[in-house]
Amino acid sequence: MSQDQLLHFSSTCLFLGFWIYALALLFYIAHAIAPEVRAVTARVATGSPGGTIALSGGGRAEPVFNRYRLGLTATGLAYGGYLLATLGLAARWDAQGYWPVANAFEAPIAFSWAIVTVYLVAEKLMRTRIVGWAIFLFVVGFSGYSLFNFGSGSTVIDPLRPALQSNWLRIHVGMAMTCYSFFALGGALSITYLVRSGAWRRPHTFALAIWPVSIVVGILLGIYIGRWPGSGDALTASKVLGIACEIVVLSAVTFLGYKGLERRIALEGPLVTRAEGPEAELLEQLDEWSYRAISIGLPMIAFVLMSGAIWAQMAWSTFWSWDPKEIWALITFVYYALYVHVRVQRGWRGAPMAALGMVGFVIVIISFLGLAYLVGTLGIFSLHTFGNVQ
Amino acid sequence: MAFAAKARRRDRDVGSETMAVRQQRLTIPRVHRMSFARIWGTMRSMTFAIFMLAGILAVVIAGSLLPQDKGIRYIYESWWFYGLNFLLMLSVLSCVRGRIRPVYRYAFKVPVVHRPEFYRAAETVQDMEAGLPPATAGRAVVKALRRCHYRVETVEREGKTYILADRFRAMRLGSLVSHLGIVLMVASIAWGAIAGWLDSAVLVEAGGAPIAIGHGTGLMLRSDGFNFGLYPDGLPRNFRDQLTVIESNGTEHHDTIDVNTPWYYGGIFGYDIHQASFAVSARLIAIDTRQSPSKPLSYCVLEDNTQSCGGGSDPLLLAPLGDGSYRPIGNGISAFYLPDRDLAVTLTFHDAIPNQQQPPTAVVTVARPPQKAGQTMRILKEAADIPVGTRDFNGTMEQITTTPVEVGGVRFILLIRRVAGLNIGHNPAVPFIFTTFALILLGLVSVLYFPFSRLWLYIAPDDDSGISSRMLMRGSSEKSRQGFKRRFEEIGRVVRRELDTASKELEMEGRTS
Repeated sequence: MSQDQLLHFSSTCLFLGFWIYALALLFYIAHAIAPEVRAVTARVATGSPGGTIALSGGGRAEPVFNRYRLGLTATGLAYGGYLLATLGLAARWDAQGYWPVANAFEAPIAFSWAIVTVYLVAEKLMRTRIVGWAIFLFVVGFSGYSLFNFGSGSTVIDPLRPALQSNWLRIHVGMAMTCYSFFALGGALSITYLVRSGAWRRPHTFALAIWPVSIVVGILLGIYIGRWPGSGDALTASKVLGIACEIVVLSAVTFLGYKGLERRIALEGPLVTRAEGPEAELLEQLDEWSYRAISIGLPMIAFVLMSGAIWAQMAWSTFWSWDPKEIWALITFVYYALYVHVRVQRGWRGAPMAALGMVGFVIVIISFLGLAYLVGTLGIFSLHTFGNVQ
Repeated sequence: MAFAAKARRRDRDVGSETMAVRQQRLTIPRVHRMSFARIWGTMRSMTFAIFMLAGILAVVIAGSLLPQDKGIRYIYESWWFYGLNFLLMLSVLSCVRGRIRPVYRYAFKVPVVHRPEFYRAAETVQDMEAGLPPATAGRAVVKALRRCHYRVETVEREGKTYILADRFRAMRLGSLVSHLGIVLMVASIAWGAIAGWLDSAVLVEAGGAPIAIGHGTGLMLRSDGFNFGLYPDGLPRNFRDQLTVIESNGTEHHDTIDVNTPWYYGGIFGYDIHQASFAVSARLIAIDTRQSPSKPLSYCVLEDNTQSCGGGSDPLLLAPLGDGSYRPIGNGISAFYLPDRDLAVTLTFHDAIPNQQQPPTAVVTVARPPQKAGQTMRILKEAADIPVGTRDFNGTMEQITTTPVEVGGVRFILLIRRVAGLNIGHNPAVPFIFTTFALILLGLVSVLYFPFSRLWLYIAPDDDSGISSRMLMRGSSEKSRQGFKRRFEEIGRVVRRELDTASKELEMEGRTS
């Protein structure tokens, strides 16, 4: 095949794969919310809460799409989409001669591919599909962002910049994709935990999870309405006051939400009932798997920082230049190191850890994709931004 | 308060005489000693470390979202940011120092023998029976545990067998290694900041004069060739520089560098020469055609209302920016002045864009400066799209403008030159920094990928006859709770299988005898 044919084949595979992923997402959502049908006793006894084989009780007709079949269809579609995405990326790699991870079109697609790879292996090991909806929400989000924002780039090859012509591109970026995929899995497990346990309705978890997210959203809003100082602007006292007021207002809103939830609990009794039996076991499994996914990712992000430093030393003659991307990779590392410390040293479990896991993935998204926009909007110099974003 | 009470108790225990001797030896007043101990104690706490980390995170996040030339300028180079990092390092160091011994003892100095209650008081515990005497059962258990890749220690005491088995116990030291790595890394970075240096230099391709590296090295650097590749859309593909380092005694060393392949001159502790940037420059040659033979005219480079002039035979190639760097003409318009003829010249160069079939071209404008107040610059000639090609110039093939521009008896020729921007640095700490990175990684991998687990077994005779025994197995792990539970059950099955086999073998032996 010629280079053009390969690119068109790749583009078709990627777009088709995206729609199959979207379909898989719908099935995973249906699987997660479908009521549990009486399950085969043998499966329950092995402690597998999800993916159980449903049987009709008392001669009643079994629905065609029961929970198990919905899950199975979702997994089948996920494999189908994954196959197409793999073909699409492989064709693009063949056409351009380097890993398709170098620009704003390729990086989110490759990231989605890595997330699905990690998830499909984890699904096999965990023997449950209830996390699929959150994973495919991320995957559809990232691939959709790339395909519909930079879709025209799907049949165009960006020449590789001199600094990227190195084996370190594969080592550094490949490892970054892998570790961020483990953090995505940890984030998906955390969100599923919060939703499944109803813990997000607990005041403390609500405050812990919502406060940093509201601050980040507030800052982004501030950037768009032009309050945050951009390049060439002076950091005036009124601007500093504006930013401080914004943070105070958002914190106050979160605090009021927290107090409101507390008051509601006082009036109506607990909003969350304590899970028992298989559900409690499932929640414990989600909590543990989330920690395990993140603890696999932590040494990997350390390696990403190390390989990045070595590469930067070779290409830019300095291993660290306080570039925004470097800083956010460091923030991600330190944040997850804190996560591991509070779990191991402080013995935190359950909802607070799930809230931390979710916030961690927000940091990963900022670090991986959001930063390119932030530095563009704020006029901050960065060596790491994708050319076609700015 | 608790510390003060503890100190008072200690004083009472030690006795006044000993205290007097101690006070003579230590000149720091007791109150200050107590304050220091309290500060050190606070620093050792995990809470302090977590607060410090969270604080640094907040500062770093703010710094990454603010342009660094603003009021909060150079956040990462401010004294208070260094101070925060220093405090964090002290905290990590005190944490590590306080934990070396407990962690070592926890991993390597664990008692094998415990009271029976110890074995029952655990979440993961199994109670087993075997039709074997304790010593024989113990041997079977040891065999089973070794099969599960456990290291086993056995103690037999008063007819009972005590077993301690563990897996990846050395990995427990990983957290110490990674924390120590962080402290050493920061120390190495600080050393590098003090002992190292990084400079930039601009080298004109073949024919340019060598430049001194400086910093007392006595080395000179020269470019012997610059290979410059373009993609079809005009973006740079790569640029390679053939360099020569000239030592003070005249010895020359040659190497070729590109963006990802620096030259480590003098090894990893020597000097790094990096290809950092590239540019296009031009050498203006102004020839007086009225004279025979024609001779080059000298000129000055105009920049921001200042001018710097070169010798007549050594015209300047680049526009100096005054801060030690140069502005190659490829990035904009360069202005020159010919004092002998009172002419001002501006040059612009456009590089080739292969996929648009656009060859390299130049633009030359020649003007007469104002002679009186109130007059403006009078343009004498504007020549755009002057083609640039390879021609023989003074015996060598050069890239020059192929159509000369002539104004008032002066012929203007542009000689195109490539310019390499180099970074030259020396940082003896870099190998140590990467070693400490590896230490951090090693520590994290050992702790998180090889979780430490431990089993204790207690085997006692089940009855007075001593032919059967009862066994208690207790387990603990830093692996996930559910994962270890599954593993623990699996080990229990392996142990039971081994006990059954041993029991059958004993039966067979009994029958035979």
